[in-house]
Amino acid sequence: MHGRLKVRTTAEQQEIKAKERAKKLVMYKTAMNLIFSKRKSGELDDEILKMTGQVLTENPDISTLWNIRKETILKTKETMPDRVDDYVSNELALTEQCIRVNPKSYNSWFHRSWILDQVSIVDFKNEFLLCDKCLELDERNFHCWDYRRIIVQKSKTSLENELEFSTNKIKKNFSNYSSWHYRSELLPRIYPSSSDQSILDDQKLAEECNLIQNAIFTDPNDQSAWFYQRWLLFNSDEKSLKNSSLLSTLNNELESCQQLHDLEPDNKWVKLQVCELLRRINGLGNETEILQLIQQLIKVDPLRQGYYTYLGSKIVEENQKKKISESS
Amino acid sequence: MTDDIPSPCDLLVIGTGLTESIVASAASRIGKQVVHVDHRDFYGSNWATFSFNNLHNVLGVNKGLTECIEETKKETYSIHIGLNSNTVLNVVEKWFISDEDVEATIDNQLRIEETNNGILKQTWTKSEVLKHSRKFNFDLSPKLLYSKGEMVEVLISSGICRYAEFKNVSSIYTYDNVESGLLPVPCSRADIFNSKDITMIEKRLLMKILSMCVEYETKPEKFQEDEMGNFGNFLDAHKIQGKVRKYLIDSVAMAKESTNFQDAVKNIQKFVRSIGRYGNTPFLWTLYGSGELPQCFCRCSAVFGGVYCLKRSTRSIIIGSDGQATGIMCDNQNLKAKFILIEDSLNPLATIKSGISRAILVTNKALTSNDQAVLINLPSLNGKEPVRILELSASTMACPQGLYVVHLITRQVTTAIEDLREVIDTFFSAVESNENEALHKPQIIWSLHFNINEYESYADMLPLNLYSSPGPNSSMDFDNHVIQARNIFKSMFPDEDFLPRVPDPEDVILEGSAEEVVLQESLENQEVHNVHE
Amino acid sequence: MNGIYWSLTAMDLMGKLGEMDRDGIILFIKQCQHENGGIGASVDHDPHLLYTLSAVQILCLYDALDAIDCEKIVNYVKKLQNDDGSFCGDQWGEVDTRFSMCAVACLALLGRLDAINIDNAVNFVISCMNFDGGFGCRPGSESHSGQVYCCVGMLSITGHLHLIKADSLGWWLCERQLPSGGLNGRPEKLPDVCYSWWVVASLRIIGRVDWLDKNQLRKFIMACQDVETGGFSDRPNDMPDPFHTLFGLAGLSLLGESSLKTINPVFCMPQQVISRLKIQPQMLSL
Repeated sequence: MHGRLKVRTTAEQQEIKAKERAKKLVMYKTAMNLIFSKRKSGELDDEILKMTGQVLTENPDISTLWNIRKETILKTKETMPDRVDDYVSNELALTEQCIRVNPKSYNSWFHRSWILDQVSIVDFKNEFLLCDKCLELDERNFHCWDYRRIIVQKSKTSLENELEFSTNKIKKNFSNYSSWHYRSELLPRIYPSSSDQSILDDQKLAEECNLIQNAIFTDPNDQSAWFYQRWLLFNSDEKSLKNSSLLSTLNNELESCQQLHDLEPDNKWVKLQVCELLRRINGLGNETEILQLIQQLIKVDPLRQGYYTYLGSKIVEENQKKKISESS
Repeated sequence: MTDDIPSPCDLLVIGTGLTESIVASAASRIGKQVVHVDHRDFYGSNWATFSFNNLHNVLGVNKGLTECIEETKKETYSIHIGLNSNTVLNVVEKWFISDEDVEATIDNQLRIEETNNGILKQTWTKSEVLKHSRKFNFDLSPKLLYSKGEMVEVLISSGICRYAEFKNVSSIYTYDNVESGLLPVPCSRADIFNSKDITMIEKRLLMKILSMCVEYETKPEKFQEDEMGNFGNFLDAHKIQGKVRKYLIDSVAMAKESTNFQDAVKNIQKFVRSIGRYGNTPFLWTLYGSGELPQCFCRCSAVFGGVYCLKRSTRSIIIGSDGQATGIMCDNQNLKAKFILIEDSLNPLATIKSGISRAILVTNKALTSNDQAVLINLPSLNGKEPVRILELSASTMACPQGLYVVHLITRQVTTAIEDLREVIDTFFSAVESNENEALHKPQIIWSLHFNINEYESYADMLPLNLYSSPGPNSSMDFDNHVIQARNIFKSMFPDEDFLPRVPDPEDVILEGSAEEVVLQESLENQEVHNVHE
Repeated sequence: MNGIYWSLTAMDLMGKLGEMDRDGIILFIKQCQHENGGIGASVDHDPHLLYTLSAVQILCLYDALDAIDCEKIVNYVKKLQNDDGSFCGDQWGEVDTRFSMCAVACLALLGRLDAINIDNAVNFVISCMNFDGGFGCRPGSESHSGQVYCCVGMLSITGHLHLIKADSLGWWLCERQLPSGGLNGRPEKLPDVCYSWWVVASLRIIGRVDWLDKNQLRKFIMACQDVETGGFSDRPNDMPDPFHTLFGLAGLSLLGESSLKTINPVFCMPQQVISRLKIQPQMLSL
């Protein structure tokens, strides 16, 4: 009365897959031989595009095949300039497909940016959309971040727009190290301090400090925030420390780090940051406290005891130099 | 049709509520012959979702059922089914708008007026609302799904999820009695990071409590003292006060100060684990209403050979000489089965345990700026039970554009009207307000109050092969029902998988002609579809 | 071509290079060299710096540089340098700090570093340095341990390690070690055996290899060895392959595994070979 369902067994499925693989390998070899012989005889035509396209969607990392496509496009530009647009949109579709298959393929991303250089008008909205989709799937894909930087440059998108993009990514997930990295590149270019080009102006620095404090209080085990905070606070050279506003920033940060340390007495990141802040503010006066913290760090994070030991001896050495210069 | 009902079958299910439908689909899925009957003319029993017109019909039908008494043979006796007419009671419907606008009813269009300040404003009349009857989906028992809860897992693993669509609840609020306003609850790590309502120290404390609770099982030594007390004591011990305490009690743990520690922790774990799977809050809402879910399971059962009969009254359950149930009398037909499952509210051996007070409002404006599905957990005020509000916009397919469906749910103390009066007065207005547009409360266009009984049955009072399944309760999600359905299934078929994955289409080999099967399936689809319409 | 380099180096580290088909491999390399001097991944494949370096490394392992036209290679590499000092991977123009490393390593092995503009090349690599002290593919790109290795190696070969913020970079690198003992390539990522090479070699070059826990790392690498085939995989219980096998062995050698030949942290080749070529890349110490 009813059509009942019967399900294939795993063995049957595996057998089918093995056969498919063997078939694919034969097809791949045949296709490669044909492609190379066509190339040798100068047949850079629609057929070679079709064949290379088929192999590349299976394996986008064969750079020679991308090169053959590039040669074909260049030839088309010379022989059929009015048809270049069609060919270019074909390349954009193929690279997008390959990126979907392997979002980390250097070759697909490079081919796409090469293609953009071959046309006078680029639909940048489409390119940004592709990046958005790709970063939605993997917010740390550095190929995609790099590609975004390329199209930002080509489209002359404002740095402010990019800063806002980075802020939105961080609002979504503040553990996005790639986005903090992007800020570290953008901020000094948009808001340089009048005295020192390598650091931020006072107001922006205060805003960033607040942002990062929210991150470290929400999750003090997230390393992205700590790396960024270290850069934010300690990027300036010794001279800038004489600048009183920076010193008061460091003191504020020390106070909040110590609050956090009280709440999270076993957290290595906050211990290390308290150490570094004490060292910057008054390394000599705080030596005992610093060395105590370093002993605790070795206990809570034994994997890096070599680093902490070095840090301790480095600070002692710094202090000795200071003592000598003060006495002389 | 009558002749098509297979008898004897493996499992006879009476009532198409959620638990019954899950068990039916699980049994069909493993090849058991299931017959599923319901005396109603719609699927879903007390879980159903209705359009405006269907709601009116059903509330009418419920009043007029008659009891039947059946002759029995010597060696058997019968449990009579008094088709329970009183599960939904104290029904009070009220309109807050008139029906004077003749012009609008003629052209069947929304009337849009230009107000003084130039904002476009829709004015609704009763007949306009009723013209859109089919665009309304009113749930008798609206419930949410935890994104990592039992219901979602079973929908995914069984593949039944493809029969329904879901939307993430966009935000959760609690009530701030200090500032007398709704307070957004930061759900995810990102929300806590972005929150402007709490200090950095509070952020740390909130995160700490959440991660402690998530790790509860792995680090039991941390909790030895906490386990003794209630949730309030636990929060005291960790110095949790103010807004963070509110978030945790009202919304994350869905608890009270007096809730025992373990129960609160379990809820917190579920909440935290469910965040981020589909969106920023842990909850999903079923598009077109919660009543879709029992239908999805029925459809799955039908695809795997379950036989469905609506409008079939079960008059009695027949018990054999050995004390086991042998079958039922269904419209003068004796249907035999190895196992029988009946919904509590139809089971004469079940007793009323407690009740739920419900209100459904149609309003003209959202309570918050979030134009999606919003959950509001009101704490218990003045010694009253906590109230849960679910506000649904047109994007959830609950109502036409420009209107909102608001569900209010609380435990029954007196009647729905009394239990919910204070909350409704606080948030909604019964008349059109002349105050500043931005300040005034949403106006109620229509309201329906009712109570639903909760039943309780005791397995030891029933024959071993007769099971009774619980109807909707006041909990916010479906997970207890999924667990109960699984337990019933496992007790019937101890060695079988509960709703294993539905095979991929390419792995299905059709026995018999493909055409026949497709036809069969499409007929079944149509049947479910028609009832839904 | 890369596969051959990975496998041969792995064999050489274990003292088994003699078991491979020397003549066949050298013939294959010859067939892969193009008129412009560059070498391709395989016969008929286009030349690229990545494969050119691998080929030169293989020829050095076999002490067989005279088998091909080295001057042509030097010319090929030289032509890939851009005005800003960066290098393209091939004639199509992709720029990456990986190619800066390939170029100088290749020329150093051929003893012809003089062929390119070193100052420009160094300036370009330094322009890729980030807030955390690490390096990325191009200016503005996020730090990545593989890229760090390339840039640190490049600066070591050209003798410009003093331009590195060694303490910042060292801390960033040693934070790649996870509780499992394994290393990841970037913050918040999974561990992978290949980073035991990129990270530890970088730390070794800047003199800070003691900043991580070598015993724990060793345990992790050993856990990635497949009991059936003997090869190494990216993480315990995954499928082994030649790439991870080389970097697993190379990592163990750096950690002082006595049954393996000592490896050179800059070139990822046995130290004997580098010494024979009289190359002394710069190393920092504390």
